[in-house]
Amino acid sequence: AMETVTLKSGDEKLFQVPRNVASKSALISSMLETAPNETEPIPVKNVQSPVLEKIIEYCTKHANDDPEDDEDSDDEMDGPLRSTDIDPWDLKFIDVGMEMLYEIIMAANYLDIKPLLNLGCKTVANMIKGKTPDEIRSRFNIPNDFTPEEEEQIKKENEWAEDR
Amino acid sequence: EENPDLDAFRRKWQAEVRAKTHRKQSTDPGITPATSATTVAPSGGSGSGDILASAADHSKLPSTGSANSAWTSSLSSKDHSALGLYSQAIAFEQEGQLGEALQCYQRAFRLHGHVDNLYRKVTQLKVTTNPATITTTAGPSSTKSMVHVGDGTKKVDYPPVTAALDNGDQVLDQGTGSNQPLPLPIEPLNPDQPCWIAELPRELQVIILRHLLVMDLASVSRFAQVCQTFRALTQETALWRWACEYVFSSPALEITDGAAKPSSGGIANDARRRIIDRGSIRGVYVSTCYYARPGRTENTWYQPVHMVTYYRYMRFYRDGRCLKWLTTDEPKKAIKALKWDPLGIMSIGSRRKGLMYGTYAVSTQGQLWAVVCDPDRPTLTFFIHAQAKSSAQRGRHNKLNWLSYASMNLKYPDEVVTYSLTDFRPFYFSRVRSYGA
Repeated sequence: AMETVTLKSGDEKLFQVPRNVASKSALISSMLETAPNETEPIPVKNVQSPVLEKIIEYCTKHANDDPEDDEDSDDEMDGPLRSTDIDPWDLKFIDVGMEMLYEIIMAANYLDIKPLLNLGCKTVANMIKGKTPDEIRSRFNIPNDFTPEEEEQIKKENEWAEDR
Repeated sequence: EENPDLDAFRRKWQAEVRAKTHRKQSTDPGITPATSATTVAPSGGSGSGDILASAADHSKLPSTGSANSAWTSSLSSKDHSALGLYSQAIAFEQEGQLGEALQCYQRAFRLHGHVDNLYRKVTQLKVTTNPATITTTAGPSSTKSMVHVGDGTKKVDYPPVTAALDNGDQVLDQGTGSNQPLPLPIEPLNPDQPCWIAELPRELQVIILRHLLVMDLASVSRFAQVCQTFRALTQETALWRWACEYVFSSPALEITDGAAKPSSGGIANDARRRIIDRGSIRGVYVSTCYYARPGRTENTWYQPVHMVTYYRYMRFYRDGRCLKWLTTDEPKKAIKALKWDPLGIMSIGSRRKGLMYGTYAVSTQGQLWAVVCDPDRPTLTFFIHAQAKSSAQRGRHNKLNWLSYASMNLKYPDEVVTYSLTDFRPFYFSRVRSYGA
């Protein structure tokens, strides 16, 4: 039978997952290395069950990815590769509300799952890409805290990026 | 880890600032009188921090206020030293002693990379009754542009932070009367909804920014225009240094001009400049050429002339590859075909005729070298040398002027053919958004 480990979410729910799935998290992987015979559930205190469920879904899908790919998953971000950059499954997986996206990014960071962290951050970057400052503000619920003079100055500083 | 020099210095300026505060009080009734408590010079910064923190606890501030008080108590003594130096710098600046001010600013920033933000937070925490002061604390932006002394920012009236730290409880008591919520770095635009991006830890915001930087440099500039916090993020040295490593790591790109000298603008600035300058030679440039071809006719009464338009395209990839194509296809059609595909795998049917593949490099002075080959003419290698030009109307590096165009036949390597540039027109940058889609 496949070796499994049990994870305990912040709200005390138990998740039994294959060891290689849990090991997608560098944090859990190193915990398993230091205590290989531990049978107690591994507490994942900072992550609530709905989020942990999403995380496990991702790790299951990517359980057999080449770990080398994980290392330089942020290396292929340009040129002709860009259009195929986010894999369709990942794209669908990360198509969640802002709150869940935030939770996934936080959890991926805490559990140290690099490709998932990059996926989350790339998704946020995609939301910002090509938007005007006003559009970004309303999308992310941020007020404009510049004085008119500062705004003028910043516009000047950023002229290089404007349409040519 | 306290530095004795620093301590001595601190004591000196604290005395100075205190004297100054006393002077001010006699003329300005709006400022809280200093009590005898201020004569006790704190040995480290932590003592004053405790006063502040406990004072904040006593005061019945709105919820954001209690968050701030917890935050204040988390300041280290190093933070307090930085704050002290920073306020001293402001005091010097106000007195017109710009040399001393600059020195203090530098030392403060060395102790704490974002002492300006920190200072803003602390002053916002303390001063809540006087609305005029609140507007000033939101004053100069959170970058080193503040350090530019004598550029008009002098008018801004900063409350001396040391005096406030020393009798922070009184200032805070003053503040309790006001129900005004204390400003946070980012407050939601719509208070009923959270602002997720602001709640992410800084290092994760940085990762997002890195992705954005690689996706589209122009978007980073728009990100910087959103709010103070985002702007500060885009000014970080580490971000641009990372970008330089990312962009310049390809060995094909290590070229420097003989004339290029290390910039005096500091590393952050330099790194940012390098990326911005380089980033703008990227994407597709189009050179449109015309020639008139006399038409043939049986009719002797008129001579038709056909205007033929043809195009030279160059596409530059971030990793140092480039494409060059001479075709009569119009940009709308041609730009879609500008793909790296020397073996003709992606374009169904045949290879694009005349599409050349190669590598390029750009110097810090905007000189561009490219070496390209046509798979259909494998013995020929073409050399392009061009100068990137900027114009106020059309932006940075929007234009490439030909400097030379030459070719070499591998069969006769001694004979380099240099082409006349009379029919060569400059390339203009073409903003293409379709690649990412």
